[in-house]
Amino acid sequence: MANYHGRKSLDLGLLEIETKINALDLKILEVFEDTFSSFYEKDLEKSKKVIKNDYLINKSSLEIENNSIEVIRRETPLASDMRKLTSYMFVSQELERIGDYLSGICKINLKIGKKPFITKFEKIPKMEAIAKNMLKDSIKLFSNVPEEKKAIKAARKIFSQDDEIDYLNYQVQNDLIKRMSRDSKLVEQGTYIIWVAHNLERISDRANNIAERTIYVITGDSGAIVPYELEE
Amino acid sequence: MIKQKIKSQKKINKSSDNESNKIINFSDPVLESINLNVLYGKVLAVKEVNIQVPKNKVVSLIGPSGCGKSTLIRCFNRMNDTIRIARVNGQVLYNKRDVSDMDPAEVRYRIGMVFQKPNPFPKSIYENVAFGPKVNGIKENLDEIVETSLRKADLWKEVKDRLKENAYGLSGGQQQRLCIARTLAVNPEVILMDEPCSALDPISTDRIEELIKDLSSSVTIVIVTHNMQQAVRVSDYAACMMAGEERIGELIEYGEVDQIFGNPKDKRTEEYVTGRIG
Ligand SMILES: Nc1ncnc2c1ncn2[C@@H]1O[C@H](COP(=O)(O)OP(=O)(O)O)[C@@H](O)[C@H]1O
Ligand SMILES: [Mg+2]
Repeated sequence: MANYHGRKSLDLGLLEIETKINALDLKILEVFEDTFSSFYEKDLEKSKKVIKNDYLINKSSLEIENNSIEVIRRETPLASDMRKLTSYMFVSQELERIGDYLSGICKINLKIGKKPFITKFEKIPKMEAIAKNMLKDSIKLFSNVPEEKKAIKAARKIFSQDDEIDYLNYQVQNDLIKRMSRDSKLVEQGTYIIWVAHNLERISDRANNIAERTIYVITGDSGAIVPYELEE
Repeated sequence: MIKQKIKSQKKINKSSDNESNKIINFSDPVLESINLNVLYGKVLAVKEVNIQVPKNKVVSLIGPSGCGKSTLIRCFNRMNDTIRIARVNGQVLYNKRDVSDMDPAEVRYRIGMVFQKPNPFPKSIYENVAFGPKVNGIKENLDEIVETSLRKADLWKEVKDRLKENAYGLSGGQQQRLCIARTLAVNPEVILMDEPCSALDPISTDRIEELIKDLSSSVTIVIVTHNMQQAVRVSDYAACMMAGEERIGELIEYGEVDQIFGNPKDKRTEEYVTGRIG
């Protein structure tokens, strides 16, 4: 069997996919920057570019999935290798979804267009900073695969920011709904901005998933992570 | 998705030499070794193996070459008796009876064995299968026994019109199935297989694997294999053996097959199943 007679071709396969994931990581972080700079600055051209280039992210994600399937088929890997490969597929899909959320924000930007913003943006930049950190940290965790203790510590740090972003999202919704119910002229843009906050919350959730996956790759134990709700 | 956090109590250990990694207790094991040590001359080859084999399950023995898999499997039906310099200390129990107190011939037909290279007798196909029952004094219904055994071994259709032909005329895969039929003819409770497919082509290997799965509803099978995927496909439990610096083989981990190949507890097992060692 391939994996019995030597790991060379398996290791090469893993390396090739990891390289592609790293490239996708960088791409997503770049798109993240572009999305928000184009949003605050009302740079509609940049937003259009993000939307137009989203297909590239989808393409790399599919490529990672296909490469992983190919290596699984060819090498019939076991244990941690198998977990790695299935996680590559999972994480590439998470990254692809994050790309969708970002291009969603760009679409909203186009809809708002050149009209002045109805808000000064206090909470959304905070959400943006948290989501970006969570994303960066989880990507780093996934590609570095540190030893177990370090990984759990890093994952905890990522998960701990989740509550804050949820709360900010709730506040954005609340504030805007109140204002919209008083002034119907705010309804259109108010709804759009609620979507921006929502997308940021979703991005942070995907970042959580990536961190969670890393713990699974390392420990092999999907029970190493339990939902809050199940703990007393 | 619901919010997640890491379970703090959960201690995951990938440490070596954890006793609990090696032990599974079954209520009614067919085979059991207790503090088993095997020496060849003065050299200790296998050390302190404690393992239980459950009834009508398939247990695979895995591990790098020379770690003592063949040595261990041979203890189960006293095949080491045939190796002059081999000395077995400790106990092997077959249904709670010490095999060393049993008649070796009885041990070997209750616990049959299939080897790496098919080893039919230079006789007809029929005689190969009828051999065991004849030795055991069975004179009646031989035709029926031969047919049933060949059917169970998935060989009947291919040989039913050439039962009188010499077994050597069969292909390697057919010869191996004939050896399985020969073992089955005496109604064994256990079949030991030491790398039964390593001399076979992939298609014959597939057929033997299918056969193992079919047989496991009524016989207990212990199989030594170097093929990890084969172990995953056919077995319920897997036992990983390893020889350390002094080249003495030990059992290092025993568990359900999904756990051994999906999430081994001992890092040496992980390294072996992922091809990092061995
Ligand atoms: N007949 C024998 N005489 C002397 N040493 C033997 C004999 N059979 C096996 N050994 C030794 O016992 C150890 C375990 O061998 P074996 O049980 O054949 O391992 P495996 O089947 O895992 O490859 C090895 O070091 C081997 O050299
Ligand atoms: Mg051997």
